[in-house]
Amino acid sequence: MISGLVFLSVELKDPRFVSPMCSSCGYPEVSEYWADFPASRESNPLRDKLERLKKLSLVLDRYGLTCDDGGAGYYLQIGNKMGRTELVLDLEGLWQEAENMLGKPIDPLDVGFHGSNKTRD
Amino acid sequence: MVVTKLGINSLDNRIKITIVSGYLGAGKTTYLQHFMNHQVCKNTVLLVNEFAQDGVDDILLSGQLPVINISDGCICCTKKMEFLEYLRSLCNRKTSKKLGTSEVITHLVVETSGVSDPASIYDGVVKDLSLSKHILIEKIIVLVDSTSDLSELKEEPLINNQIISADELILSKVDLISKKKGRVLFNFLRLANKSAMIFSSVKGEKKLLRSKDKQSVIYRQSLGPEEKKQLDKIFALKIKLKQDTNWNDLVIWLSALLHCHGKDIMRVKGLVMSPNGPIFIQGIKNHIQKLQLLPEEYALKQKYLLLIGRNIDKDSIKASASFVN
Repeated sequence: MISGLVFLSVELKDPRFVSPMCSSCGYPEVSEYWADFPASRESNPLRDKLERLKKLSLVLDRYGLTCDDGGAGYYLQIGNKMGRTELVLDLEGLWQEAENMLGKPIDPLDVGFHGSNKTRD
Repeated sequence: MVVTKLGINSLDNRIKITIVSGYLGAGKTTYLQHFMNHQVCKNTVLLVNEFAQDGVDDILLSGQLPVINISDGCICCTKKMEFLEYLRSLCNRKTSKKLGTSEVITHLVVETSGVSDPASIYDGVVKDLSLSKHILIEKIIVLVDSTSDLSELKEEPLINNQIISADELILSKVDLISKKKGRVLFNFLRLANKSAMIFSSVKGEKKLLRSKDKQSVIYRQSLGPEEKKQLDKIFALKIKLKQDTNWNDLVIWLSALLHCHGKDIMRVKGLVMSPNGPIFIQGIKNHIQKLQLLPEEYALKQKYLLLIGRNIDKDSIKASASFVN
């Protein structure tokens, strides 16, 4: 039996972090993205994140990408229609990964990007 | 900066940093000497950074405040680790105050060396996960030597960077120049950084300057077409937001914009509504500082987002802002 805490290190695709992972629950460390605290409701910070994810998938859908919370809510999962998926910590990592998948960054100045919000309404 | 002026900083218990920057010989030390003699600086520490190995600034400035000296390199590059290490020790002291051990520091005034870029000091603090929680960069003050030639100010990229990232610009030594030159310099600064407050100073005593439309004409005439183009590339865009702008839309749009165009967007400032209340956003390039929650009365104020950038089409940003509005 292993006694004491075991610290594992998991390297996410996001090059900025070599994120420590909790040895008990297996989650990577939660990212401290600027948009989360203190802007999110204290009562339920995850809810804001999930709402954001919903909107995000509408945008990414235009580029043939998908995203979800990977069933855990602590990080984001981005995938393309070829079945490739990656875990990222936050939006910054997500746009980077989207750039890797598409070969070019997603530009919000494109009509496709801001048009995607219009059609939803 | 909005937040400082309204005196609501007491809500935020982070350590406030004021960065005083400016090119070599712009008058940083003189300004600070005056500043310290005329203000009550409680719980404040002054950090003096010098590029030279043996500096004199810390001697000139000692006596009023505790002075920390980091010399032989810039805190934006070679001495960055030392600087961040010092900030960490301040944060430790702040937290240990709760146990009643030592005097707590609430303000830090940093005098940078003449050849440092304040934006990269800002970057260092904001990127650091633990420091960004305990430290707020309140103001970047940049001094500009008014006796130097306009062409020098325009051509030296470091001075340009300093001017662009400032919250407050101070034209120093204005008693030594003609009124006409003062106006030309003022208009140059106004065009280069549309969001900063501009002061003039004589021997460190500062006075607010106001802009008049007539003067900007004078400046424009004194520029050749090429130079005019150069400056016109820098734009400031204020996007008025609706009161009920969706926070998540804003976050998605802004984060994508900063990822794609972060190099060309020098500053982001804004008052926006988040699910948890009104919030003040500020950032340099693609790094957003930890947000500041404002008191409830800000909920009724006009919400906006201010972007300062270059090489991007202003109108296309306006058009794409329809995503959030």
